[in-house]
Amino acid sequence: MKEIIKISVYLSMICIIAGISLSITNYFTTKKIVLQKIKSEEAGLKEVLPNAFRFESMDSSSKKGFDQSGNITGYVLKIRATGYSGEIVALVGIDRDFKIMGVKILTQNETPGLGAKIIEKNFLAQFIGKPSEKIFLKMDNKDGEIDAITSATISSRAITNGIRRIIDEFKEKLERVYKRNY
Amino acid sequence: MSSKKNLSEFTKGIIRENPVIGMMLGLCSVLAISNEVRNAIGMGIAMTFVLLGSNISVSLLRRSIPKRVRIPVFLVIIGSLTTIVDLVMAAYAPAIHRNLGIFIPLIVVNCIIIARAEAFASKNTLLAAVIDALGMGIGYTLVLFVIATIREASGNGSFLGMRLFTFEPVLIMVLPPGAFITIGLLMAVVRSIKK
Repeated sequence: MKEIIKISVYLSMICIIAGISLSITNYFTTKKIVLQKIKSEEAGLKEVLPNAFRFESMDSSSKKGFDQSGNITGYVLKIRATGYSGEIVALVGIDRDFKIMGVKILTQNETPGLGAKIIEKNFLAQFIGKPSEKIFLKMDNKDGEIDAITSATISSRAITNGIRRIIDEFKEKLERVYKRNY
Repeated sequence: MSSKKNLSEFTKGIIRENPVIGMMLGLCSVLAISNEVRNAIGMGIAMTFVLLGSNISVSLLRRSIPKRVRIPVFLVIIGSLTTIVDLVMAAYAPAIHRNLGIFIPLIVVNCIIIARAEAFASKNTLLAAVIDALGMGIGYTLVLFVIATIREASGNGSFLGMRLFTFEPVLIMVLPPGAFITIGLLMAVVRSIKK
């Protein structure tokens, strides 16, 4: 009986000390972690919509970009697509004519050396300046202008179709909800 | 303790009882993380830090820990240290933190750390525990570094992200089989030298 009490007290003490040191660490790092997150998010927004100066949320998956004098320069949309191994999250920036300004992959778990090449400039540069009608893989549609990455068709297709769909959806939403008063 | 003994405690982790290729502990994260040199270094540092902290705490508490609950006590200590490393890395090295992903929290269940706590730190003085942790941590980091260098160079043609070769790399080396092949070959080489 006496031993049980001794053990319980000892374990509780250890857990209290652990808890205190964790909360101290948390206290000192939370702010910095949130800042890092915001910073990397902002950098991502600027990367896909370089002519925007300030961003404003429209809903959970889209943001408006403004230039310095407050005119809308374009939109940034968030894509969630299912790749070869898990979800691919990406940002795509479009101008007011819905032409693509930039694409940035935020997270992906594709195969290193194959599907993971979707983060490379050679692949992503293909999207720039194109309207959504042309965002198909060449092998999938005769209007398509996107070359898939060799031996990584599934990853390439996932991101290509994801981008096209989100732009089409967004176009429709703007016309329906905002009656083009944007 | 003489300085000669200290030196041998230190070097045992690097060669004789190297946690990865000598004792074959903690292979899961080694297999997964070793496809890029940058990740390998980050993981090695995180691991060494947790190992050092856990060896120090366990060694200081070794006389007071009740024998019957020593494993839960070790786990609480290791878990807290790992969470601290996780938070600090997220705050100050976000890029590496993102790449290492789940493998930082998984240091908690890495058997190298609990093995050193149970087999060494709980029976030895503070100084010896520190030396042991440094030796083991450096041994782990070195092996990870060597494996990652081989895999990144052959599988991606680069070192720390810098391009080395222009020929088509052997893709399988950065995929999971490449990890098994490299570790196996490395073990064979080290064992034949030790004999």
